[in-house]
Amino acid sequence: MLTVNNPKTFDWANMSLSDCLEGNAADSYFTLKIFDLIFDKLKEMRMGPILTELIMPALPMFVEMEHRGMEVSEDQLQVVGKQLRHMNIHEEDLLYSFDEVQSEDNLSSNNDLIEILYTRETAFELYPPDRTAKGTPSVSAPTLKLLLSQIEEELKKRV
Amino acid sequence: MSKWNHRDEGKKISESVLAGKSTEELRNSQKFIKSLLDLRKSQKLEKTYIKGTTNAIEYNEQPKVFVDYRFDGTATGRLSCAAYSAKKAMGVSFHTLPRETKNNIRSLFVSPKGYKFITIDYAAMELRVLAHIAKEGNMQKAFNEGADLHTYTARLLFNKQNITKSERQIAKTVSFLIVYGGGPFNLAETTGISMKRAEQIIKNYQRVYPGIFEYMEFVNNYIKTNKYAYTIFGRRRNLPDVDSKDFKVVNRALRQGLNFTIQSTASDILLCGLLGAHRRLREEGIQAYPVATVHDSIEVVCKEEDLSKCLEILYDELVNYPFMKEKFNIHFDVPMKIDAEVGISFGEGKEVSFNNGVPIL
Repeated sequence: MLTVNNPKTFDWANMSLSDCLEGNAADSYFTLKIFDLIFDKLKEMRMGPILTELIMPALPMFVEMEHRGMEVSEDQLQVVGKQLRHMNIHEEDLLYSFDEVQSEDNLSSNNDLIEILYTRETAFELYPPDRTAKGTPSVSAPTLKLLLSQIEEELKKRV
Repeated sequence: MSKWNHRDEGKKISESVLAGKSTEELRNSQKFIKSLLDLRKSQKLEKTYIKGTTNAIEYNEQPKVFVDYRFDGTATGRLSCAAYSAKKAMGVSFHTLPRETKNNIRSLFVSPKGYKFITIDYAAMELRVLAHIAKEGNMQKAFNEGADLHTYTARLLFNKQNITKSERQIAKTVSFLIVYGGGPFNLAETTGISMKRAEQIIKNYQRVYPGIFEYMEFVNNYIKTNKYAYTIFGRRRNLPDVDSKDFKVVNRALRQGLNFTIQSTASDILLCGLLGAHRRLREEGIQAYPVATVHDSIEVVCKEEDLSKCLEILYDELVNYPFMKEKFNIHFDVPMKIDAEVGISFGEGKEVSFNNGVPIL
């Protein structure tokens, strides 16, 4: 809305009716002005039909969809949430069972992962195939996937 | 040394370090990295969808999520979808919902009581679009015969009838790679085959589907001359980067242009189908309404008693596309195909087949 400065943080739920009307009026007024300005240009570029036959008629349908929302099963939310939490605990336990990981290591910390994977003498002692823009060894998902594919390639050679 | 040389160097050193490790050490590292990636993935799922949905329904004060569809969210004209944001997120993005996980996240989203949840996907939509706009006879033949395109392609590529799973996978990969501007290097990287073999496969692909390469050449030349690409619906994407002096930037613009002609068309076909279906459902008084559209699929909830009629309308509007024919006079040289599922949630549906457009329930 043109009358609202920061829509992401604005308290839409408590907006007064008069402010809401003023904002909507301003939006409609300027949208029409812009429409008049660009519509001829769009027609000239043969883009008229996509706007008038598809996008404009689709808008009320999407407004309806957005207003209606999607139902959520709270029971299923509990079930899937519980499954995921168990899975996370299991995965974490598995990772801490490696001799290379110390109990005080934080697996969400990049610094600790750099130590575990690359720099600590008692750990894996791998070489980072990629680095961050700042030059530190990367432990991002794409780098780990690359490392994994290199390991798999090396293992394949040995079969 | 450039950034890319650093990367190549890092990869090489990493490979030589791995070569010096024992097999047992390699297996141990492999197991650790796999588990770490699994943990990150499931932590992300929990944070984004479980916590995200829980927070949203708490804020909304009802068991519902609300999303915001945007027509201007992508350069290709595809719809984008994000959580509706009003001070706090009121939903989660359906466009990033994982399709297959051990835990079925999609099953959180359900139909209201007394309604069924219908999910309809267009099958191989982008390749059908490509076969049509490139006027590629061989590919059109495969679709018109109702063949499995990737097996059909593999048979032509490898010149034999009995195709293995991996050969089918290679054929599938090469089809998508070509569409997105990939070459032998990407094929070798993705499928793990040698560069020499990848080069040969691409050559064979060119022999099997020459129309695609002619179309690519046409689009490239068009973009170079006009600085934009266009679709059969009349959408345009300006590509000023094609004038860059950096050949990488030029190539990217050409890739974007080619991809735009396919992806944007596919998106508009879906939109036509959805709009046509929405109108028909209303006109015929069917108690059904679309609740989402995610990439090549649409999601509709429908009163149980209207299910059969609703599916019939959806089939007609998506497969026979009367709306698109009427409004845009577009008639495809290949048939459209859909996969439909009916259940009570987004993630748990039973496949429904059709006989002459009538659902077999």
